[in-house]
Amino acid sequence: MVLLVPDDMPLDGANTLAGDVDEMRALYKDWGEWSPREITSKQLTASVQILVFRSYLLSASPSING
Amino acid sequence: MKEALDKYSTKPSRVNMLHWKGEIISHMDFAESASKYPGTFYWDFHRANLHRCLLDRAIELGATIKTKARVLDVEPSSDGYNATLTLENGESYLADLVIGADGINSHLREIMVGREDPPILTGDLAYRLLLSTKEMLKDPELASFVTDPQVNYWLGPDAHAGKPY
Repeated sequence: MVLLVPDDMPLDGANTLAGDVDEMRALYKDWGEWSPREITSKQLTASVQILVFRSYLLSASPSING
Repeated sequence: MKEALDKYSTKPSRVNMLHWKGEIISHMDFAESASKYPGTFYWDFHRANLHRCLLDRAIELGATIKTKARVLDVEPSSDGYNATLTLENGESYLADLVIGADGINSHLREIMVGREDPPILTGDLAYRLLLSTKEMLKDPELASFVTDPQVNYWLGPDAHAGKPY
C-alpha cells in the first residue's frame, strides 16, 4: 500500500525515513469507511515496517532527434 | 516468462477510483479492457518478485551480471557505432548498446544530456507499507481485499492512496 501526503520532511535531511504508524493513521482519521483509514487503523499495520520516501520527478527528456 | 511470473502474479478483477469518503468515482474492468487485445491481461506484482524473475531469465539466456561496477563515464566512438564505458575501478568496456537505468539520481542521464539534471521535488511524501494478507484474512472487514483482489486508488484532500490488492 502506498499513501501519498504533503512533504513535511526536513529538506536538508534524508530522502527515506522510517514511518511512524500513529502519524500515518492521523493523516486519514477523517476518511470514510472502506478507505485507508480502515486499513491503517488495524493492528496488522503495527507489525510491519513502514518507510517514508520523498517523492521526486525528472524533467521531460530532451529530444534526441533534432 | 509467463509461467515463471504466474507464480507471483495477482490478477485483480478491476481498478477503482474512490472518493475519500468511500464512494466509487470510476472503475475499469480488467478482463473487459484486455479482451480488445487478445492474448493480453492485467497482472500485478510485488516489484521484488518481478525483478527476480527478470534477473533469473537474463541469466538463463546467458547474461553476465556484474555488481560493484559503478559507471563514471560513457564516451561514444567517433563513428557513433559504439561507446566506451569507464567504471569507478578503472576498468573499461566497449559496448554496442548502453541502457542507462540508474534511477532517480541518474548519472548516466546527465552524461547523455550533457548537463546537471537533478530530480524535481513533487512536494509529496510516499508512505510505503506491506500488509500481512494472513492477518487481513482474519479480519472480516479486510478479508475481501485479499479474496477478491482489486486495484484501488483513493483521492482525498491533500492526500491520495493506492492499494494494489
